[in-house]
Amino acid sequence: MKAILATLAAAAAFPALAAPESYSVDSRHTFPSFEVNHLGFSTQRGRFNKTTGKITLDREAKTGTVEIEIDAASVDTGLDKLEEHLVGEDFFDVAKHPTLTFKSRSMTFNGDKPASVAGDFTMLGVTKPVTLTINAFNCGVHPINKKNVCGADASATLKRSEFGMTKYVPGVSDEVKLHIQVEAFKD
Amino acid sequence: MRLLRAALATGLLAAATASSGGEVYTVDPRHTFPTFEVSHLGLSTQRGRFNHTEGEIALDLPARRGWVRIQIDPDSVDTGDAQLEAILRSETFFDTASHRYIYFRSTGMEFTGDRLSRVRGDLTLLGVTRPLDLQVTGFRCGPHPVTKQPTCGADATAVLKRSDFGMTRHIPAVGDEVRLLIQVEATRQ
Repeated sequence: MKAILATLAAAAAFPALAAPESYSVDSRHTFPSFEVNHLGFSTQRGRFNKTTGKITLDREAKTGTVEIEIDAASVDTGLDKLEEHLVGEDFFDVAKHPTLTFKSRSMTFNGDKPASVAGDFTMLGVTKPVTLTINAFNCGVHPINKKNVCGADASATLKRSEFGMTKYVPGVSDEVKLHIQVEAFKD
Repeated sequence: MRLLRAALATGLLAAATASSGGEVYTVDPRHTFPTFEVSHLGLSTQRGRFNHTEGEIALDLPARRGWVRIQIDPDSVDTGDAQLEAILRSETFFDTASHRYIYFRSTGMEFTGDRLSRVRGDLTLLGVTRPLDLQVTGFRCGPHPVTKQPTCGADATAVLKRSDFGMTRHIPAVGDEVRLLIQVEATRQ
């Protein structure tokens, strides 16, 4: 009887172990990039260099949460003058709106891997729904620091005018495509 | 004899024009950026960009021919992570002290209708030259709305194996396969 109780107790403990795991975003491997069309000639790209956040995952229950904060002033295009313009009032207006945030509302799974994350994106103080498509997702043990780590590639499309960023539309396209690589270590 | 000479001269002139490949455009470094993508530990796709790219492009659209000469400064590599950039500049990756530029020289162009669709060429990286084909996924020429100068722009992609150029560090943890995404704009001289 003692043995059975011990087995039951152990079995009961496993779901608890499988309960939501909490991860912290690795800012050195997490970069949102954006793409816009420039005058119909080419696709110009930019990146934010400082992104932090928390992710929880329960791969058995197929639930999870994502909270991301992007430092708007860390925008990086490879062109100083353009960056100066982007942080100003015409675009990200970082003096008034220092961060862009994403907070998930729901997550879909394909098997035990997240397939999409629907949530609220806040830019320039305006919050609109944005859905991230997860194009790749994998977890493992980091070969150097031996920590549990998960990584993903995500993409999304939004219209910047919906957030009040209308400068140069349509010369610089309203539609913005996002490509986001994320890695996060288990807490 | 005179006629023959004239014919020869005309022929030479035609050949010279043909070899020039049409109108020459100067690459606009402010709107021309090669980006690379590699898999990192099978977890995510990490990206980097070169900030300084120069070159010339010749286009003869009616004849559907032209050429591309590009040089990229590998010292301008930019990933958003200064520590990583220092490693990329070092001899384990781009070895920028020994190899001042990455070069692309076209060997041919393909058109779909009037649209440039493919540029065949040679990439020189770390002093190693290998064939590289650029798929042109977007292409448009027209007057620039602000400067009014004749301008062409393109989006191109390519895939290479960095080990083909001797860049083998951290394979396969950092992918051997490298995907390139390149936006180019160029202004007619």
